[in-house]
Amino acid sequence: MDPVWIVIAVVALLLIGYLISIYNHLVRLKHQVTQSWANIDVLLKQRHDELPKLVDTCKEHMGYESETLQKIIEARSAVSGARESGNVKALGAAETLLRQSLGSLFAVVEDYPELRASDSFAHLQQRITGLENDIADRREFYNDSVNALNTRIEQFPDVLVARQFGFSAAELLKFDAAELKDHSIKSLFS
Amino acid sequence: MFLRLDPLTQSELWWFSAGVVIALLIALFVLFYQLRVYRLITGTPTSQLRSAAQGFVELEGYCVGNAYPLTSPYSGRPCVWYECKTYKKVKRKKGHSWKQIDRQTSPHWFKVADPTGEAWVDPKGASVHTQISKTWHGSTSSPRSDRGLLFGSNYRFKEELLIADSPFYGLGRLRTVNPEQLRAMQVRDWVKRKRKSGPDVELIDDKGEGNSLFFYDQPTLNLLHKPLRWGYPFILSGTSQERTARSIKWNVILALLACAALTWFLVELQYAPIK
Repeated sequence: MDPVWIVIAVVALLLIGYLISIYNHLVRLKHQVTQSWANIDVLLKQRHDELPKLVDTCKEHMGYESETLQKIIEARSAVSGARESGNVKALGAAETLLRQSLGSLFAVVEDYPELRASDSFAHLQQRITGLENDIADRREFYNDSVNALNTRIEQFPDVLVARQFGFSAAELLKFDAAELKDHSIKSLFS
Repeated sequence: MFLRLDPLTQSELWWFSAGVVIALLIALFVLFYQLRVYRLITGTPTSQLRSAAQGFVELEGYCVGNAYPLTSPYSGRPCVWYECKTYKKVKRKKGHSWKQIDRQTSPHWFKVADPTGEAWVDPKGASVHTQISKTWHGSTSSPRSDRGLLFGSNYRFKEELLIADSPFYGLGRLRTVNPEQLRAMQVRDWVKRKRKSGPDVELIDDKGEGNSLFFYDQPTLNLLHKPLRWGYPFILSGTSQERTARSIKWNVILALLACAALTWFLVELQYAPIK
């Protein structure tokens, strides 16, 4: 056999194998993003089901806080809409609103000792807080998955395969800065 | 070309070429498998134990300990996992080589943790990368005998350990198991080990000192174990993600060099003189 052909065959095998490995890796990263999104989605659905129970429990005791409760209902609908349409940007904004509204509710509850003492409220508060923590953790995981995909499809030589097969960048799930900003201790005591 | 090969018959040339081609295909397979593992290490996001999903995950934290204190059977050093090997010196026409005559790998689960939670690790079938590795020689097959200074070093001992409080990096399948599933797993494991070791050998669990008894009344727990799907590695490491990835990268480079060397040898064979 001609030695030149041997070298060409081995190099071709290496090249084809390498391209296949890049393609398979990009597919895996894409599915990783889908899966980590699905992991958040499950928790969002669970919280979506728990929130009406919380609102009903609060309504019995908090006649004068209907505005706070209304905000939670609206934010819940916004989260649900964004979730169903798969709009990550809208979900980030709606989620921020919902978290702020829930924060206000749990702060206002301090003025209603009867409600605070209620077992069902305590249980729901614990459940929703737990779900929110899990959502925050999974958001971090989702963003890591998105970063891994977005970095890969911009790096050489993966970018060639990504362009050829139409791999597109995924969107990070961001919560608004307002939620993340530090509170000034000084202003709280002034 | 560059090698001066002895003249070969046509059939010898054919068999040699076939052998090199098979070796080349194996080297290519190893190359792409290691490349895949490298990409899985660098491309899988790290999960937090508190909210880790079920399935193939990457964990980073530190080793905590076993159900009961574990020590290495060779040095007696406390550890959470060990692998010990004994090699015997075999004399050859030119020099000598080492033949493995004993290998002991810890089958015991160990606990790992990260700032958000804990998980148990079933090390069966794992590719373990340790930082603590020790090799010494002896004149008898007992690893705790003299160091071969008096009667020559006829035996070589190698010990690799994962120890408590050391960093932990894991890539594998995580699942949450309930007490019933745990019991079933422990019984299956015990039966398998008993079959392997024979009815006369007393296993640690026979005396109720091992994992089975400890896990008997445990609540639901997270377990990291070997992935069931082919092509997904099970890696446990006593170092960071970066160092583990670097060691796999070296495997990729070595496999690539092996491919290049085998290709070159295949080309050389084509220039070998024919009898």
